Amino acid sequence: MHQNLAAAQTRRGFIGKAALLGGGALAATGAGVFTDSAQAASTPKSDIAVLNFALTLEYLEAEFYDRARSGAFGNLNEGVQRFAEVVYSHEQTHVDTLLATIPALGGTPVKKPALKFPKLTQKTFVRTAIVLEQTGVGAYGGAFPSLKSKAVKEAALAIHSVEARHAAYARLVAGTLPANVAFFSPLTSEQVLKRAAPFFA
Amino acid sequence: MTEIFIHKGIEVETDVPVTSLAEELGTTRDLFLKRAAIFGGSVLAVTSLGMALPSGAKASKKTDIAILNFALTLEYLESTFYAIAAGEKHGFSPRVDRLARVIRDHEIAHVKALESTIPSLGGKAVKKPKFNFSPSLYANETTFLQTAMALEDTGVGAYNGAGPALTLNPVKQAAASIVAVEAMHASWVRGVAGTAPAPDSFDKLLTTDEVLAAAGPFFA
Repeated sequence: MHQNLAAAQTRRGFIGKAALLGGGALAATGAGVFTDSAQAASTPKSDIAVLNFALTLEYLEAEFYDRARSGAFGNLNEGVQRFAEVVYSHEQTHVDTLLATIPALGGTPVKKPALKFPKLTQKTFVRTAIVLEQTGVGAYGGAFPSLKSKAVKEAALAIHSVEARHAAYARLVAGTLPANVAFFSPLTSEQVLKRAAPFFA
Repeated sequence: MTEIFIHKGIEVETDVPVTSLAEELGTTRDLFLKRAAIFGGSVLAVTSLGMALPSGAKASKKTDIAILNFALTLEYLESTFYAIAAGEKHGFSPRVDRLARVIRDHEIAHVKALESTIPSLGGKAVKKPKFNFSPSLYANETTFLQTAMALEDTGVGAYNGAGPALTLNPVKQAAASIVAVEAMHASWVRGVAGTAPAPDSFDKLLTTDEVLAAAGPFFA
């Protein structure tokens, strides 16, 4: 049903779009500095590019929740504050893990791009969280079929479903149906970028 | 011994002795056979195909079919569990009733999708097994939600654990679109139960054995 996704996410596609994300993308593709280890040597550059694309989204999410928990969007009630703290901790862990994984596989992690966030209230913070999390779920889900390396597939799957948990958590906090579809549509990299673009300075 | 599995309609090439599979799984032969029987043979299909079949498009397709049948068995389990919850009066609060109805509908949609996808790949869908859901599981919201949580977390781990072995892109995509929803269910159930919706930065990738250990008690 989504046969075209993998084809759409060719390495070139990722490179071109990643470049839009703030220059760091060169690292995603330029790397080519493979280590001697068998695993690194066997990790395709297209997988590294996907991981760098994911890292860019995780940077965005981590900073978003870090700002939220630090009061940038005003005082949050207890439940929303806890949501921001928990999800921040997960997203920062994803960033740290990708920052360690990419070089281990022979790639160079993209640098953190400059980010901007609109003025938000508790209510609009939670709504924005829903959009970001659903974008994250769709991004990992959309990229999964193109992955080649077993280690990268495992990492992506372990993160993908946590993003889905976050999405439902955000929807629960917002008071809307946490799971509103039986199948969650994956996103193309174009769709991901369109949704994330407003947050890149 | 292999006839058991063939009769269940699973396309398995049983060129590997069952005993060696059991050893590979790190379990006893009897336990393995019991579990394999519980799951209508899809266990054997998953393990033997993954380890023993020659590589190639045909084997790849069979690997995917076996995994989808394993998933279908879990979806049958979940949909039946929620159908009982939503179909009878248990005195649940409106928000728990709603959770049960919505998730039931999703799980039924997963069952239908898998039942049609498996034949489209040339496989034969496993039949719905007999389940054993004790009325005590629905005696109060807490017990119901705890069971739902265990099932959903297991479902997430099962899809995640099987994901890396999938070979066909449309199947990978379908699995991703389902596991995301299973994770949303898990988060929802946990939130309603008053526990952390997302308890960890990474979800587990469960082995077949771990899935069976968690789900086994619900098979009649």
